[in-house]
Amino acid sequence: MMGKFFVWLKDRPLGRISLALIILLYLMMIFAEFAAPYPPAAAFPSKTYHPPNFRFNRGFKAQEARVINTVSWKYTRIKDHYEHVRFFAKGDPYKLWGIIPMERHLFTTGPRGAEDGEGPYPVFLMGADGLGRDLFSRIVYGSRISLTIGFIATAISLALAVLFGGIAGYSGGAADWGIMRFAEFFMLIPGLYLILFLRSLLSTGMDSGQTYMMITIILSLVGWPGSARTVRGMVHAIKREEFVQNAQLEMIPAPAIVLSYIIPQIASLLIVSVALSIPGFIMTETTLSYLGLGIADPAVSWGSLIKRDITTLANLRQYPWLLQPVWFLLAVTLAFNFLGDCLRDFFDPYHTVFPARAAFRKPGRFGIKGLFRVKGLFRRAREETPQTPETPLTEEAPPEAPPGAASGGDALLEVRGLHVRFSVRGEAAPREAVRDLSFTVRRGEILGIVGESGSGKTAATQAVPGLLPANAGASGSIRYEGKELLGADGETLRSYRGKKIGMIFQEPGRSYDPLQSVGKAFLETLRNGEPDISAEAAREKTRTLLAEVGLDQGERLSNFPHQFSGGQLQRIGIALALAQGCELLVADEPTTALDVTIQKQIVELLRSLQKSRAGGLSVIFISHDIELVADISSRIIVMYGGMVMESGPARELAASPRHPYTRALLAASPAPGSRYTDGPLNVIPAAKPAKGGPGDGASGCPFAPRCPRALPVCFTRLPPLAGTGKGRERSLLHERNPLRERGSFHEHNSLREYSSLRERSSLHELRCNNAEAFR
Amino acid sequence: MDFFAAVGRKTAAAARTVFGPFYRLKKKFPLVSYIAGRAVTMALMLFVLGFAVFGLMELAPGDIVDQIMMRQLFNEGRPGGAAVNDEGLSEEQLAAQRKALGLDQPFYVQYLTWLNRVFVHGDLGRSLISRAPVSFLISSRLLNSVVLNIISLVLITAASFVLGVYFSAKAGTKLDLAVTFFALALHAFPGILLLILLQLFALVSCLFPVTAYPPFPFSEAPAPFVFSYAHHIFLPLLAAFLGGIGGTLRMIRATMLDQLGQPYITSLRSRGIREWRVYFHHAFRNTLNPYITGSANLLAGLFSGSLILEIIFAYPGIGRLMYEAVMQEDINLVLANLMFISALVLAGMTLADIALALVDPRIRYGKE
Repeated sequence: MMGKFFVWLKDRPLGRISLALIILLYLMMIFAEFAAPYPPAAAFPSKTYHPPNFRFNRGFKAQEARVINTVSWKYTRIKDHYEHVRFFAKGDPYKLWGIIPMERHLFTTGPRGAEDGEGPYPVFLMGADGLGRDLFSRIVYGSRISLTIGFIATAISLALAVLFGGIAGYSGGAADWGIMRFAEFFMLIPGLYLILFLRSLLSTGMDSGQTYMMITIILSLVGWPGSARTVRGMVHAIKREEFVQNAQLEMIPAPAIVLSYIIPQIASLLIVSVALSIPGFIMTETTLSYLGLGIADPAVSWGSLIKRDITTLANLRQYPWLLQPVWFLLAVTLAFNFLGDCLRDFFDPYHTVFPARAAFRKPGRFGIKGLFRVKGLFRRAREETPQTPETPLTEEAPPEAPPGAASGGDALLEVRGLHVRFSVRGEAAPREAVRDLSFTVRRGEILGIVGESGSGKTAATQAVPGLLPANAGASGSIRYEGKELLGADGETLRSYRGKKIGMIFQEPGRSYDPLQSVGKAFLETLRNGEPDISAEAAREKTRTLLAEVGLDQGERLSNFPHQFSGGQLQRIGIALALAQGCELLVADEPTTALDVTIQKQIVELLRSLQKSRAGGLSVIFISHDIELVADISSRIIVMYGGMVMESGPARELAASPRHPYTRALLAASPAPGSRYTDGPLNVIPAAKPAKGGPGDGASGCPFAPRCPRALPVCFTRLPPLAGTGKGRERSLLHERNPLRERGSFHEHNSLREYSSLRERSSLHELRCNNAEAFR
Repeated sequence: MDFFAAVGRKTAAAARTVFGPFYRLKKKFPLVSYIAGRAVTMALMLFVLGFAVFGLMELAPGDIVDQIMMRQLFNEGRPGGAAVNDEGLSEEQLAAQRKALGLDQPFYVQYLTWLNRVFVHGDLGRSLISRAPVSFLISSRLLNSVVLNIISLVLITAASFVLGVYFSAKAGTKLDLAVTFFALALHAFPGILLLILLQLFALVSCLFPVTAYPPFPFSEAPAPFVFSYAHHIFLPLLAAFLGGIGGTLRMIRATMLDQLGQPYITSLRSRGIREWRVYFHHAFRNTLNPYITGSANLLAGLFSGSLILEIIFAYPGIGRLMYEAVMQEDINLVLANLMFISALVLAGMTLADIALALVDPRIRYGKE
């Protein structure tokens, strides 16, 4: 984990600098006696407010200075009077950590004399304060309080947070309620007021050790509730995971479960919260000391240094070096925050934003440029060059045209050689979600697209009306009624959305603005089509539309989406999609989130709409349920890894699947009337390769790793898509016994042969050369 | 077992008769009953908070009582009062004083007495130091603090919404990266150091006064006062603004991006809704909710921050009053101050809850 983090930090210079700075400061704190040239209380009364005198002049030197005014403590440097500053040299004797007697300092000019003014001239790296004490030494010693108080207070408050948050989250019920309400009280009072109140309860007559403890305790008391809430939420969520329930069944005591099963799961969160809360505690100590309620002389902390030296502003004007502790505090605070931010990104990469890659962005589709273009405010915006489709847009049929799909005529939507790539942060090459996809939707037909999650079905269909997310780019050709949509500008695309191409989505519950009533959603949509429609006419139209999708609940128009059921919402979704009279309806897994009865109803509804709608509605029906798709569609495309595996007429394909994947899909869905006692359900082995995902550059068949009949050649070469009209299947196979001579078929079937086959073949297409061999 | 079941049934029935009207009311007027419920909760929380505060005072080492006594005796200027020291007071005298102040009673009795005094007689007590009524001290300072914090809240909100929404649309560009980094740095910048540095700047540049309040009262010359106030408050306000905007801007940008990634945005786009509508009528409106919830905490943070501000820039607000009271161990004033601030923040939170219910139908109808 640590190693990984360091590797990850490599291209995060800010995080690296922060980490280095923190380590340096903490080392300085631990070896304070060594790092500081003088003890914190060592005063040189004759050198009050001595300016910094560390110089580089043929070696490191401390320049001497003479007082010219003992009232305002003005100094003048003496030319050529230098004291050598030696590193790791002998200076004032001290005891490291109060135990080990030592004499060497990180740098010094030598041991102080017995009297002020004797001995070698002192080095003031950061000047001296009002009593002639070396400010750098005091800062170094002061870090002992300032830097540890953050750690200790964080540790205590974290322990409290884990304890109370753990109990609350794990046991739930009354304990949960009680602890959380208790925690809320601490959060109710502004932090500093609470601290002041607690501080006022305790007497002021305390020595610095007691004050230190008292501040630490107060800080942890004020700090724990926030983290406790977070811990509680996480514990509460993880409690329901199976591994925790297993542990519970094994009768492991609850505290052990929380500590050894749950806490490790939220460790990353805790690490981040530690890194982010330390600077807060350090600053609160500083604030208290600054206000005179914290550490006071003779103990030194950065806060007390600031209080001593900065409360008189006039001082700072004359002796600006007294501001040094502020820079130290600032550096520590910023470093911890930047490090915490880096850690959060490291543990939770989903929060980071993809840097948009210009090459994959389509112009004017998303983003402020599109936004302003609509309003005409951003005219001079740098135009990104529209992406040129990879396939030349000539009038002749594109090379990837699937056989039998005559272009023109009744074709409503033609997709040719579509590629969709997602750029992923930290990866040089974009991931290909859709590879070389071609299909045609004819007027009035229902086209089914089947595939598992991640097979590229959604990416492919979202590319049609230009609805891909910002980090995705598409190339190829998408033609709607012969007009190229890919690369079209935002306004053109928008004229197709809703008016020609409607969409319904997988999760009806999340597909509506939760703050918009259903009536308003219809009004907005209808106004989009006809800007002048009156509210009354819109309401009437809405009722008609709702009745068309089988919802006669016009009186519920003022209700909000959360007040409808999933099935109702999906019907509303269909009505909204049809509101502007679309010709093509893209149904992206419309039934997945619904229960079986509602599923059936929705499918029936789509089927009847397809027939009843004037002009004939075309539908692209996407699902992972091959039975369902076969039931509703006239043709099916089976996708895997962003590629077409097999396509053909629905009935034929469902009845006699050829591709191993299609067969596996069919086998994996339980047939009506089958019993669980008949045998195990044939699930597809989930042997996804480690590199996973399509588009990782693998040249082989994407299904090969999971294919039960994969040949070695399947991993290296991609079988082309080829038609398998009746009587031609055999020519696809090599004549010799295929099972015995794996991997040899390519030698017998040259690409030329395939392309000639493709030209002649019928509607049915197949991507697996050896499929027939295993019949 | 049967017994418990019977008891359970009876309790349920009793609950129905007691709360029945309430539920009917809730069904009829969801918003009104929601607001009423929040108000009741708020009052309850304040009550319990006061209880806790008095309990803490009881728990604290006993010398508080002695300190109050000392102050009391010292300030009453009794003959010989100045000479009073720890040995000078006999145990009987101490006990008598405790009895006179009601300090011999358990803390909850003290609390109830205090409540009775505050709510029935409207008397917050007197400062142990200045002998002025606490209510006068607080009311003379409260407005200043509220004005300051409201101004910075409004400024922070306005600026971070504009910038947050703008940069959410620019997410991923170089400018966006620079701004988010800058916002993080501002967020991490300790407020107290910013104030110190700004005051130093005022001192060195002589462009701004080093104090935050005009040297003459409002009633004397209203118009010059406003100008002078603006001049005086500029730097402290800048500090509060810079301290608050970093975190808020980042939050709004993140929420906006989160909303833009929601399925309903795709759904809206698929219907051909204009981009600016998608942005401002939908994503933006949904971004408001988490912000409203967070703004109560922001307010609490602002009050904490303005405490330091008031001290460093000598601004006569409630924070400095609290600080002075703590420094002078004026427990009466500290107590009243603490309760007042908590009530203020709690009221802010309740207002935020109500605003949220107004904006979000899901909360109004009791879902989520």
